[in-house]
Amino acid sequence: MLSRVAENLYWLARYIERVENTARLVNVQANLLMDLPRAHDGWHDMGWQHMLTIIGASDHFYDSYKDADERNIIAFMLVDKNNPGSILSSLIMARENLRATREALPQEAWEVLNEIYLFARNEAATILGRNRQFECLARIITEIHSLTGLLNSTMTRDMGYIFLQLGYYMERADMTSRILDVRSSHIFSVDEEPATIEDLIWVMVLRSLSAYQPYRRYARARVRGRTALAWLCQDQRFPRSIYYCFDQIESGVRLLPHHDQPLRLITQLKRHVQTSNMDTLSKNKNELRQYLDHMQQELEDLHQIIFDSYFCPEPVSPASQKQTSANVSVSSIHNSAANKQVQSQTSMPLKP
Amino acid sequence: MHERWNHYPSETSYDELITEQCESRPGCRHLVEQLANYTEKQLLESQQAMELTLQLMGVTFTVYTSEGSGIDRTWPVDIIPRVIEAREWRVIEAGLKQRIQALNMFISDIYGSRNIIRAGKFPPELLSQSKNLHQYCMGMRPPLDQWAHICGSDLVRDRDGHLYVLEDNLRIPSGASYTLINRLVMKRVFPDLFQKSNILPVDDYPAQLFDMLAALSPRPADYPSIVVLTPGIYNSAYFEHVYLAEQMGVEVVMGSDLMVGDDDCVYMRTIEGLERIDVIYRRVDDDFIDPETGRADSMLGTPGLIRAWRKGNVAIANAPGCGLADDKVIYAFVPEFIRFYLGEEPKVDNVPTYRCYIDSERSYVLAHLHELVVKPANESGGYGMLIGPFSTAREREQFAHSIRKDPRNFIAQPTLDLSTCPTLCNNRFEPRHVDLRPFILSGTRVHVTRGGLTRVALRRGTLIVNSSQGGGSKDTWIVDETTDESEHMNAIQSR
Repeated sequence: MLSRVAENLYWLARYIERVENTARLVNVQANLLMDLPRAHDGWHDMGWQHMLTIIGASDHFYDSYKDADERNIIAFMLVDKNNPGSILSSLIMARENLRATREALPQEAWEVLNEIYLFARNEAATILGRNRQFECLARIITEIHSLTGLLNSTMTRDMGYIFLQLGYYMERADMTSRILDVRSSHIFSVDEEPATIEDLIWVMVLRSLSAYQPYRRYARARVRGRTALAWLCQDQRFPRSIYYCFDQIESGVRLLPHHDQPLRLITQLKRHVQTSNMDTLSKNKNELRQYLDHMQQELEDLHQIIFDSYFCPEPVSPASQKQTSANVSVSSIHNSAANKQVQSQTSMPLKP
Repeated sequence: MHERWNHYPSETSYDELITEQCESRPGCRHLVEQLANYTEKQLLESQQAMELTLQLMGVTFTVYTSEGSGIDRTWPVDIIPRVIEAREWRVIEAGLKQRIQALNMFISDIYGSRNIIRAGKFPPELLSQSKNLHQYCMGMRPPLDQWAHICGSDLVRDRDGHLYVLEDNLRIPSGASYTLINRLVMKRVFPDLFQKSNILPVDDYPAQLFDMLAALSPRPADYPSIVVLTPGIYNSAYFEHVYLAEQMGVEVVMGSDLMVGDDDCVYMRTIEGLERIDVIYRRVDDDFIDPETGRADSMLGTPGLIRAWRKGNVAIANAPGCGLADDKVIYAFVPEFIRFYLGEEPKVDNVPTYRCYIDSERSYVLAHLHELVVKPANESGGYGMLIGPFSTAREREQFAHSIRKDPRNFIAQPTLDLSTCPTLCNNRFEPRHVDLRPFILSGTRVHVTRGGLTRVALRRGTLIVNSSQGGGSKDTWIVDETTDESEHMNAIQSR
């Protein structure tokens, strides 16, 4: 399989996953914040500002907007084309990547993705009105599911499929770790926060990962932060847990050629998450922060190793380096830029 | 004759299917009858079924607007095929083989000993301005001494019923995939017609193409490593690049997918590592194919590709530099080439051509601009032409100026009255002008497609058939009326 095609499929999957995750994140936040008692209005806005931190786009946001209020942040995250991580931007990139690799995918995939894109583009204005927002985002999520379902049920399990899986799970692990990072940092630092608020935040975290019901079945008790955190990191069977993502990534990497380096790193990542004592970590805010930061750094390293192993296979000499960067397709240029954005999140300071 | 055909206007043009006496031409009888028996509703349904199939298959070509944005159009196919008798086709085929052989020998000669110039049969001045002659080809002997492996020669039929070669497209002729597609959709819409008439099959083209490319490989193998080099998804013929590659079972690559190693061999970047490439079917122009020899800012090529080619480590089809013969002034010499290199008389004629660099011919052209079609030597796509009878005085003035300024780069030909073919327009059969582009493959032997791409000018009266300017297409049938089935069976077995 051509490196370029593998790379496009990997990014296609990452963008698709990003759209779904972002849509759910916004919907959940918007809904649950409506339940906040009025006395906590300040929390309302801060909750939205956290969203910027989660996706690592604060700087970018303030380039175009003055106030970090709910309306602006939602606009930024959903439809702002200047935000490379917005739903609309991600759909555009996903579409470009799919267009360039149509031959490797089932024919209907293009049509489904194209329709999602057209829907989002055409609804961009109305999406910002609270009444329609939930409905539109829910529809986007459903359509994404239909796309991933289509790919899942009709694609031969070839190299292309493996790279799609890698993309999905890398993005998912990344997003989950970011959400945990930002939310739990706030939650565990503010000891005097009433239990109701903490519970609410955790319900929000779980819902934004489609994890609320599964967690309740697992824990059979009301949501307790420390248990939820451990479960989201280490559960072996919930498909959005960090461990599960790593496990899937490892399965995929095992089927790839010359996989020594990436395999070593992913098994190390798995080991780290499996053996960490989440209970202890959750008692110490700084240690937890460091732990999650370290995990994100390792994810970044893994992404780089995948890139080096499969997407640019040759000893890099200055001349060929220039060649490669000059000839990179449009989507790859954006990917690199977006990639940088995704990566820069780990080093962004959290808002207290 | 059915009523439907009685209304078919008998214009002054030669019609491919219907004679002036309103009868079907040889080979067309079944087709004409069948078409007459369809109701309007059936015709419309057939046309729509065809369009739907093409849409679902994703058969497109892209037209670019002046702002640079592209519109993907579904490939336009008309349900009424164009028919040529096999008897006539055999002569054309022989004539096309002659042409390509002579052209390849000419190119080889120019990059080699230049015997034809020594013999005084070709003015060397004509080469000095040739954009497509490359110094780096001098002295080069590509595999099998072939330069133009794939040629698309455009044929037109004039009012006298005679088929002429209008031009030879030697660089990157496109359209072969559409001949396959057109046949595919026609079979779906008119299966019964294929039973009644003896229509020669065309779908061995990918196999023939593969065999030709494989024969060029520097490393002999059952399945040499062949790739199709495409400029990418934004190229108007991208569909064809992918389709032909798929049909041959080879990879489609862009310049950035390839690299030339320190060993001057070409490699493809895959997830398994670097994979050596033997043959490149390139759909990228000479100027862009290698930033080391062409445009330095090219994003479509691979640095060092020409270096690898010159060393014989990779074969490129069509060879770089073959475009030297893709020139309308050179075209005028092809009959001479056939005589000089093959010692034969041309079996198929050129359209009479006036070469503006010759004083007497230029004077004639300037005096008859209102009657002639004037073409620049190197443009394609039907652009940059003057069609005398339809031109304004101002346009003729501009062209006269251009011709005087740069006579070497213009030719002129009489305005042909292109033949027409019945075409479904608003549920009626109306005559529209057509041309034909067969494809000729030259490897260890020469293969000519059976028929080719018939292009039709969809607006009444217009002569411009190129798809980029709103033309359509038709399936082309070579019909063998003789009871001898051997040619037919040969065609099937050669797959």
